Amino acid sequence: MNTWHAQPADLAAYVAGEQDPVLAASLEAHLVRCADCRASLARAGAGERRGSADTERRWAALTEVVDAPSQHHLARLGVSTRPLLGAWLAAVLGLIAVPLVLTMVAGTRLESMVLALAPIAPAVAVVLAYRDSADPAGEISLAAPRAGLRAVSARALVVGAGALPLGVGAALVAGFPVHLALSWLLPGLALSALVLLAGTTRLDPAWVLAVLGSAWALVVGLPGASRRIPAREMAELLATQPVQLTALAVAVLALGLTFTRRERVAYRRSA
Amino acid sequence: MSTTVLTYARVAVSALTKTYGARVAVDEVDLSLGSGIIGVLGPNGAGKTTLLRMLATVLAPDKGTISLNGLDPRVPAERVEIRRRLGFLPQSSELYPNFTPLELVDYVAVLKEHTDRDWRRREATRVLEAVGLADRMHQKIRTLSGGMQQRVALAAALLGDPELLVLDEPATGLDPEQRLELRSLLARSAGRGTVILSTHNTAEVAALCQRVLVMREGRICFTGTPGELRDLADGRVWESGGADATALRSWMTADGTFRHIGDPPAGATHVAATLDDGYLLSGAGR
Repeated sequence: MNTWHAQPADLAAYVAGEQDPVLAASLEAHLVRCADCRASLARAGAGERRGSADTERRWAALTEVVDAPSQHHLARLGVSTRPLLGAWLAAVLGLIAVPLVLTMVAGTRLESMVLALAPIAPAVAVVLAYRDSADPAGEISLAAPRAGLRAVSARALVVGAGALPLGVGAALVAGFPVHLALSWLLPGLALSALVLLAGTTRLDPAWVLAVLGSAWALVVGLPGASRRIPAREMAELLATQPVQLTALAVAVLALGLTFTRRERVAYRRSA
Repeated sequence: MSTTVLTYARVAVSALTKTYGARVAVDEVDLSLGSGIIGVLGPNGAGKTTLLRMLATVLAPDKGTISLNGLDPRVPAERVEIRRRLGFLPQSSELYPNFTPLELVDYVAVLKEHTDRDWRRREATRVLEAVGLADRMHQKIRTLSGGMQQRVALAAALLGDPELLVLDEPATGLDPEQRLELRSLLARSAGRGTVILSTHNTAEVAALCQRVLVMREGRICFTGTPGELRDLADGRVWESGGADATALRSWMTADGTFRHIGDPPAGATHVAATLDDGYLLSGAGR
């Protein structure tokens, strides 16, 4: 007959799996013979399970909070998965590289060419962001709360916002005159914003870029190329306050319209 | 506003119309659907895909109203709310080939506003296991067969156990075993809400659907249970050794005999009607 019983603390440690192995073996040998301690062990186990259930309940409540859908994750959409992150980085690097390489290759003697083509580069990125192939899930995305084209718009904005200041910095570091390095940026932003806006309408952004980009290249590049107006003078003209303010106004207006029309984009009027 | 119907139906549409140029793809369609699996049958070009795309809030109708769980997709905020409760499998799922199924489903989960990475991972794994792709979830999508890619898209539609599943020909590209698995999967999903699926396959409808719609030329020409569709042809199906020009439908079967729907041709014997017969008759006039 047993004359002693296991201490509650020892049983609790045993149930929790924290008992010393030698003591645990001794306890098990005792439990085989002692009905009172087995009953105590059962009570200790029930307490442990209650604690576990309580933990699970608290964890479930915490999970509810953590998993609740959020309303503000536009930027996250652009970089949520590795391939998208890669595409984003490639676009940023491309946007930096294209104007820089163009400028370096062309040199200051061919400034008109740089002025004609550099603003088109970020707009090309916007067009690419709108391509069907840019959305990994195709039409599935259109039926999601963050609908496909809305996500594409967010990606384009992320790319543009990241690339433009980096492009300015890179051009300045490369030693270009400040007014030349800056003069194409706002027109480039305006052009990109117009292409972005086109994606919210029935117009094909690629065609809009083709038309607007060609017009820009003709107006800005042709006079310099034909030597009617020296390229340096054209660059100075672009850097003037009225031209820059006009470009800024166009960009702001186009981006604002794009924002207000974002829901229409996600609800297509055509097949 | 047709609120009377909306109170009782999960899906209610009224005078829904969509045109492409001169062609009317969906023509004044009225519907009122509750929970369960609803099959949409019809030939190519009948308007099934256009109807389903409108129900999935991907395409805006030219005329008419839609109500999904009492919400109006024309209202942006309500459209977003519908999409939170919606799973959509388009007819053609062009998935990014360099994603793995896990990455693709995770991406769709982000679009569905699930921000917690651990939850997304668990849920993506769950739905991929449900469609039988547990052992393929880390493979590039370009290396998967067409049927497997279809199942990846289906897994994306199943994310978060949506109340409304809109599936455009979900069995396309699946082999018979996969079709059986799909049926079992959809039967489980239907317990939680409404599943609307389009198909050309009457066997699919017979096996799965509590209700069937038949569309022809943009209109719903039949709505009822699969049994009621079959009953359309009850007592009107015959077999004989030759063709019958007067029958509503007449065709040669694999064993060389001719099957007719309509009035009995001379010398024909009566045979039991099938769901196929009812479907064919639903478009031939009665």
